Amino acid sequence: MEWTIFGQQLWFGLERGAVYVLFAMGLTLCFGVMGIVNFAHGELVMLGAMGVYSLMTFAGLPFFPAVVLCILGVAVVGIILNRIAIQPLLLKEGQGAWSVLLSTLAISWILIHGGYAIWGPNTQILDFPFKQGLNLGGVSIKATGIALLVAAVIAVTALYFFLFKTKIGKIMRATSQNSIGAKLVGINVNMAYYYTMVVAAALAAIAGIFLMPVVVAYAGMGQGILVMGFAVVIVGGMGNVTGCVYVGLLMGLLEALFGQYVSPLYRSVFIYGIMILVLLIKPEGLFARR
Amino acid sequence: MKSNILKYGIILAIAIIAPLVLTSDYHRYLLFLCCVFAILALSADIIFGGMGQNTFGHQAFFGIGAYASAKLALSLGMTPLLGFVAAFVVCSVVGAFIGYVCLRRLRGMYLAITTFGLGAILFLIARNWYQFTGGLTGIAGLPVPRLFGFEFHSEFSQYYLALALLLLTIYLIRRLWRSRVGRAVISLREDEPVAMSIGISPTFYYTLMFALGCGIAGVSGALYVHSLTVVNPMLFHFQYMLIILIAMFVGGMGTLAGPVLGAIVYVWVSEWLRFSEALRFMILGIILLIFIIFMPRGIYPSLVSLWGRLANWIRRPRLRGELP
Amino acid sequence: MGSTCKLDKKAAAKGRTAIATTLEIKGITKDFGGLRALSKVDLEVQEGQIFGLIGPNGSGKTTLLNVITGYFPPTAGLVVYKGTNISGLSPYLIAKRGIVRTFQITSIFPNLTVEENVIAGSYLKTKGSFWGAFFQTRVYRKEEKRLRQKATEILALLRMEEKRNVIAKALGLGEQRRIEIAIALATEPKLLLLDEPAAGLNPTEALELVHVIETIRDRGITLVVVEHNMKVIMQLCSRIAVLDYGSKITEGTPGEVANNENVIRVYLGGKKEIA
Repeated sequence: MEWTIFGQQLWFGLERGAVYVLFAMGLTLCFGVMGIVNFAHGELVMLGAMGVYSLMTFAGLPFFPAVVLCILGVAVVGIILNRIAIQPLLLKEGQGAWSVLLSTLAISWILIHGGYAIWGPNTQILDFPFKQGLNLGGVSIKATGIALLVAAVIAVTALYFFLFKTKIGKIMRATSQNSIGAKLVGINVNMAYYYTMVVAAALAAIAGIFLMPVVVAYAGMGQGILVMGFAVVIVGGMGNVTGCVYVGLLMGLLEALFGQYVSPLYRSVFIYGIMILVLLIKPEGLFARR
Repeated sequence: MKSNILKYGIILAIAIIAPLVLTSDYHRYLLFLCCVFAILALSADIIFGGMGQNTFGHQAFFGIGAYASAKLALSLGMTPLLGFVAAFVVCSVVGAFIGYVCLRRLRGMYLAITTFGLGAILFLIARNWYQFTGGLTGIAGLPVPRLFGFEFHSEFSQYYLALALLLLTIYLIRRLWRSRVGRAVISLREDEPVAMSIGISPTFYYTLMFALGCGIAGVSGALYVHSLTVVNPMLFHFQYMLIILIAMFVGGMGTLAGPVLGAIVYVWVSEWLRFSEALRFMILGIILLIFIIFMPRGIYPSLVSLWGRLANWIRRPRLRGELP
Repeated sequence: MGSTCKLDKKAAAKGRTAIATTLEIKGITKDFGGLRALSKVDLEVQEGQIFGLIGPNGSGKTTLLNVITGYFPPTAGLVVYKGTNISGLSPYLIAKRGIVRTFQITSIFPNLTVEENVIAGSYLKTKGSFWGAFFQTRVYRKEEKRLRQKATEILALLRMEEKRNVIAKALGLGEQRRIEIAIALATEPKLLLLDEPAAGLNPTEALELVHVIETIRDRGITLVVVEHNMKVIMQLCSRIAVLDYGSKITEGTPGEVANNENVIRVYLGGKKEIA
């Protein structure tokens, strides 16, 4: 058995897993706090990637300012999304969450084709400032991958700190457990919704930015990630952030190994098979909801 | 009752003479597309409006039906009309299986995500399994439908074939909701526990309706490709689901006229926006968004209530001296 | 002895000496995780009876109904209907055997008209296949007419005839309750379980309800009624069981139960006028 190849795939799996974790955490927050499925989440990733690319290529910004600006920009998009397509529908009585599913679906479509209109159909590759890489026993570890993992670890830690130590975080957690009760106690649920979208968008943007060197970026890249993200969220438990972290990493690893040893084309099919199996046996996810 | 027959008669007459008025082949092709997408949207509405469930992978059956019919026509030399039947059967069986597996446990959001994912996966498989599907180039050279020696070559004849199938679908669905089976499904939609308490098996009827909806979708796919004479995996792409969603939501879910109206609106708007591909989809997305936010019941129910109010206004008792 | 006297005499007159036991609950226990909702409950309901089930809130009455009608499988114990074990069957299979229930929160088909609600209820007793509907055969049309007539008859019994074309969700609670009962009647049940049918009704409506239930009993349907309204229970039932914290604390005729010390204590912790 070729250990270098195995090791390489483990590393790729870790990289992809990190992306899935960032993506799924945002998605599951939206579901946990607001009870919605955000079909436009993949496009937030796309905006993160294309945004950084545009800022660096067309505005000439250096890497770090571009990243910061981009994350802020996508967060603003999250706020706008909330304001026009999520909050008004949730407030209307009746099938609020259902309408949001459809509205985010429509918005995803608008963003994808808007993206094609702006950036064209070609794929882009980002010029990363760090070029060096490591070589551990034959496994090539590019600097971009390290940056991704570092960013992911920082993001996850920051999120936990945010959710458990800050007041807003507590508000979000309370709302996720009982939104009516939260309202009764005087919690500003609307604010919680905004914060949730901001955090989710920021996480997605980070995923997109650091995804670029790993995968080529184009306006339609969000869809594939969305499909994978759904699998992670369902297996990990909708609304369960810890579950996302474990399952996201696991999925990344499994996907990479399957791609190497069985078939690169049908990786997503494999992951989906796992998801469907989990859905049939334990629909709430492998990890019971917090 | 009499006014109903008059109404339907007029609409039917318009539908029949349309291709005689619009003489360009291109316009006739658009009419054909209206019928195809109307059938597709109606088939999805069985699940959305009729059952009160959802399926975001419905477009996959558009593709499966198309390929089923295409493969059989090419390898066995069958007339595509039999291929339509085959498409219905294949899609019903697959649909029954998926419906059974999914609807046993999943509802609402979970069902939506799962069916979405399944649709995406089927697209991937269709695209990558080039030995069977011909990859992105697909398979060309499909025969046009034949009936008793007559070949449906022209857009003119193809439209009437599609219209016939559309009328058949409409009649089928209408009779369905007035039958025992249909009432059982409506009961399940209205209140599942109550329906169970009066003897209705949710699993059985959900599977059955899913099979029916998917089967009809397959027929629309077969109809589409035998006019195109080419079949390729793009038929599995999510864009067809968006067409379905636009047709259902803009037109009106749960009604017979709604999805048909929605399909017509889609084809017409899509045609009007032909000048820019990306802009076309963007604007369609914006239209869908506007309808979801402001008019979630769609055009048709709003028209109906508007008509009702108008009729009431005309018929209300007049005070003496008021002009009619 | 109670109000089944009439029926007993009728049965005796027909030469039958024993009254059939319709429903037997043997040692039913139901746990939800760590919570024991029902604990070894035993009951016997005779044919043609109106059997009452009372108890404070949370005593497990609705849970027992849910177990009997298949919405929850029992953790232990048996539900036997006319000699057959029906424990744990799906609700729709239990309905097919002639056992129908109503729900604590009034559950009807909200967007259908009153008449459509009742016709929908006739599902089990509707003949006809889809092809009949598709081709509009004579069998189909005759059946549709019969369904409409049956709905009229049931609605007349419940005095809802004039409201037949009203959308159900537009009606008030009392009327929706009657629709619920109408749907249940449309299934032509042999055993009907009512979950708090008098909840939220004013005294006049409650009296009407008693009359309706007695009429149902007179048609030969066995009834189990879960209720809080003591007037209704005492008037209707020939036999009452009392639940508390998931266990049956006593069973007997209305008179026996009303004067039972445990029952009085459980309900009020003191003396209460139950009449």
